[in-house]
Amino acid sequence: MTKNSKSSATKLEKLKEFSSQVKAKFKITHKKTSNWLDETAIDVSRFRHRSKDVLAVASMAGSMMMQGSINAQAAQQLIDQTDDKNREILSHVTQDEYLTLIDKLKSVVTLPVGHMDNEQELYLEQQLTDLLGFEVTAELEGHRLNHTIGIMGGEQHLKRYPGDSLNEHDAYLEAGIAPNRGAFGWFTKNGQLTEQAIQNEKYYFAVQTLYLPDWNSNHQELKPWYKFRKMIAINPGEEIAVVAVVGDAGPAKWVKKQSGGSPEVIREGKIWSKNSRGRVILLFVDDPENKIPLGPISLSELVPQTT
Amino acid sequence: MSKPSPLPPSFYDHLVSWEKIDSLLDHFEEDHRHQALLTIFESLDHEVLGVVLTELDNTHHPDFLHMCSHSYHQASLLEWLESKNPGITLIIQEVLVVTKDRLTELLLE
Repeated sequence: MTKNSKSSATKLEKLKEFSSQVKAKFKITHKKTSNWLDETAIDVSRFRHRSKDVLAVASMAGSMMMQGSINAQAAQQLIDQTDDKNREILSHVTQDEYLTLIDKLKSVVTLPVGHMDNEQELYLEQQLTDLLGFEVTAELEGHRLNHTIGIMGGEQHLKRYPGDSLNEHDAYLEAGIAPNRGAFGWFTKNGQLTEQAIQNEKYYFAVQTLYLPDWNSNHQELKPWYKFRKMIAINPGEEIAVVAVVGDAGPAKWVKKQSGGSPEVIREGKIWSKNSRGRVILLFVDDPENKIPLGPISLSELVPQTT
Repeated sequence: MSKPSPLPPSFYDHLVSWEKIDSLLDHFEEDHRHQALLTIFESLDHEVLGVVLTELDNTHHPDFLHMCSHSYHQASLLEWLESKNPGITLIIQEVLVVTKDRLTELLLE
């Protein structure tokens, strides 16, 4: 180790010591907040490092390297660390934490339809994000549905392109097919029935965009934002989640349900089982790179099994 | 001041004097700079949150923490804070300056 490098290492130790002192001071001065953050497994530093921002920094770091910045090596290390963190996050929830989480989800999902309180929402978003390994949130880019907690009804298949018929669909034909296309248009892209289009129709949600307070005044901006927006329905009663896209608007208020699910969502997510009775928590999936596949997820299988 | 941060952004980034951060990083060898940067911002994040929680009425704490979770990267969070507590931007700015001065002093010892 050179003299300079030794001095640099010593200074880094001093810096770490300083940071520890600042954290300790924070814990003492803001004991209540600090305890709450501990209970919800959130570290202050983590506010900065939530997934979408981590993705943004990877892009920014890449751009810095392109510019030949002196911090290029630091940027690369940051990208590497990001990947490590993403892998690490998959094993963040222990069996005990999982059981606690499921209990809380089961109690929340029976609350009156609407939203959780802020603290509860933050806790559940964080825990679910840790469990699933990707970010889920009640509010994304300033958008929030009228209900996070609600009852999901069963919908019919949707026509994916003009002339599509029920027999062209793979499964659950007993659900029938709606006479009109979905509120967000055909599923095909440039007239092509791509694999993505097929998947989008299989796993779609109907959400009540039409009742959003700013829908009438701002639907030109809102409609493209919601079209095929990825969301996740959490069904704690069966410990299953389903990732799907927003494919239709509805149901109407008088139906007394706050969202709808495609035949695949309802069947494979066991949304109307005896344990669930349609009650779900519906959250956005923050997936700017479209990496999260659609379909059901068995929540209990995400937890490392202890022997 | 407009230099991009090699970190996920925060609501107070535009108050940070990046020249000072660079001069702090100059104390370190290339291999240590990334860790040093993370550690500096760990301190700044805690100091900023600390002063916000001190200055902000307790009734707004849950909302603030909730917004931190969703919008820590958005400057609009600072606007919200300013609406609840006019003048808080200046206080945050002061904390940033004082913390960076303490760090400079520490590294010169």
